[in-house]
Amino acid sequence: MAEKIKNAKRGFGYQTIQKFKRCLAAKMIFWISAVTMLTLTGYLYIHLQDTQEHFNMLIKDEAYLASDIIKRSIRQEMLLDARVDLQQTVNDITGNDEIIKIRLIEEGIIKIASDKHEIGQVIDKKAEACNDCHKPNQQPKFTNDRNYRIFNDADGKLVVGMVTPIYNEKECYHCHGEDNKILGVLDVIISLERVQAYIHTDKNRAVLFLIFTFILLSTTVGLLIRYFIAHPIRKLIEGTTMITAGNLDHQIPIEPKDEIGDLARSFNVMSLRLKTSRQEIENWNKELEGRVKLATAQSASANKELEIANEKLKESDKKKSEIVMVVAHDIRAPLAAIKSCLQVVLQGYLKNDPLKEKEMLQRVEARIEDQLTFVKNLLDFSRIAESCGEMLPTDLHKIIRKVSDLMSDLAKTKKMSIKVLEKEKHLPILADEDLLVRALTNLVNNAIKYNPEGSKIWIDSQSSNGNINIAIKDNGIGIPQDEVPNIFEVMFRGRNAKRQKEHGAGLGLSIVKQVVEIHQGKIRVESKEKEGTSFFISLPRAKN
Amino acid sequence: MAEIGNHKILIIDDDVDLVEANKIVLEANSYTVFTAHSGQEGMAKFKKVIPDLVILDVSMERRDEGFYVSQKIRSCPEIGQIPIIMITAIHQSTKFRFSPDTDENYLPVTEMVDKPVNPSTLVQLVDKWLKK
Repeated sequence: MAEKIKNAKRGFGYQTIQKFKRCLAAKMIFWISAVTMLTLTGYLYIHLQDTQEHFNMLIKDEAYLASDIIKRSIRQEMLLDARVDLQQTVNDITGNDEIIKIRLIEEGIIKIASDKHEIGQVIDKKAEACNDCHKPNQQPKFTNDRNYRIFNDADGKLVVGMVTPIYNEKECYHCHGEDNKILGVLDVIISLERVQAYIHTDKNRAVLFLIFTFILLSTTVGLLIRYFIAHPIRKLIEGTTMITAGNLDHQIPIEPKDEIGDLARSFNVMSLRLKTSRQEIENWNKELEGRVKLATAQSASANKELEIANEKLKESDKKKSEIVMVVAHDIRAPLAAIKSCLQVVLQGYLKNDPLKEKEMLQRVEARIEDQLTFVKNLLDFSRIAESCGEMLPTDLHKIIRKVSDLMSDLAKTKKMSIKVLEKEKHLPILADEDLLVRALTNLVNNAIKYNPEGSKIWIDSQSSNGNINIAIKDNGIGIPQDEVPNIFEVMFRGRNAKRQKEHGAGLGLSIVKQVVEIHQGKIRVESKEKEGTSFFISLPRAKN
Repeated sequence: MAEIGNHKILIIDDDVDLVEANKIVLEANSYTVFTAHSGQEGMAKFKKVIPDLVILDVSMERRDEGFYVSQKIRSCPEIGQIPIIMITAIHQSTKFRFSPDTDENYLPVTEMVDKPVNPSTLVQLVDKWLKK
């Protein structure tokens, strides 16, 4: 944030530079161009210097040549000391643009000059231009035949001035004597305009060349970098961005067989591998999630089952302790009766009435008989509850006939009849014969025991819908409506049953129900008081 | 002994053998004994006989039938205020403990005795309330 504010304060230019600094192409262009331009500029500078030097040489030669020609041209006039002619010749020679000025100087005095105003002027030997030969306090001495100087003349034009000595010769002796080696100097000033123009053009060309080279170079380098480096790199950046964003399907479309191409290809391979790995991780995650869900569900259902089982266990525990209470009572009550009856006899209450005494003992015997039955039933009940029965194929008719045979004697004692109705030839079932006989016997026994003399009992059987239905009916006392739902409960005894002189323990119907359930069957009851009771048992029919 | 013979005792119990045994014992002690084997029968006999004492069982057709019988007896004007001796096995078959002292409202009986009762104890109990 602070960085941003700082940058904003520095303005647009700064931002552009920062952007520029981050652009590879720009940096490359900058440095390549800078180096190239520096090299070129240096080269051109040296080249121009050389050219200048070269020109200077040429100019020197030319100036010397011109001086020599002029000297030869005016030699005759000088020998003749024809000053008017000399002046005329000098004027003629300087009539062009090249040779600007000609001066003949003797002893520091301008004797002849193309510019008439200069004639007679004295040149100060201390002037810089004279320093080469006229050293202070020394004899003048030509150090160089081609003594020249370049300077700007009064008009501001660049000129070269060539001073050449005029040596004393035999022909000159007649006027100048033999003593002086040098009679004077010829000073020729030649224009450098043409050369200057040429050099100027050359410089301009060099600058243009530089600019052109710069443009061409930057453009070429820029385009090359853009095409070969920046573009592929941008693609790579896009690719990495995509992958960072999670799009592992992205492949970088780069074909060239160079380093960047290699990078792109290995990048593509990497993203493929990443994708595969991610797929694997996702699959693993899904599997894990599934497992967790499954485990949760299983544990939830297991918990539920446990809860239900626990509930059932509690219920059955409660039931068990209730049963124990009832059983205790049902054992204790008869024992109490037995004890009382025996005490009456033993304590001699009936010693005067042997008949009554015998009757009391018979009562005791009957009650003991009942108790034996009760205990037997109790044992049966708990045994059946634990057994799962050995199921063997048999015919239901056979079982029903057995029950009828077993109960017929008891029925006769109460003048009852048992009618068996066989509607079908075969009723195949899988059954534990003994158990099923006992269950049906219990039902018939109840019908005999609790119904008045002369009642009728029917046992019907027929198959329907893959089941075999058995009905055991009587036309006896019936069961009160409010008790019907409870009759199969352990230790339940109906009011009508209790009213009878017969003793029971309330185990019979529980045993019946248990046996039916062991046979994968169902039992229900229909009863109406004073009209009779019907038990309906439905058992699965076995294959023939 | 002769004047005692006027006392009428009603035994209400669904155990016919026990009733018979107790009847023999009480008759031997000169009481006049009437019997009933259910609450309904017992109330009918009670109103008909108007006994001096009732011996009452608890579990009959219904497990708590004796309680209702005792209340019905007490609700009878004048004749309902006789001694009721409850002879029961209920303390053995349930986890409840009943006492005529603490459960007076729904158990308006005079004595509560556990089954079985020895003949001599029975006679002593009855004598206690009838021989004043």
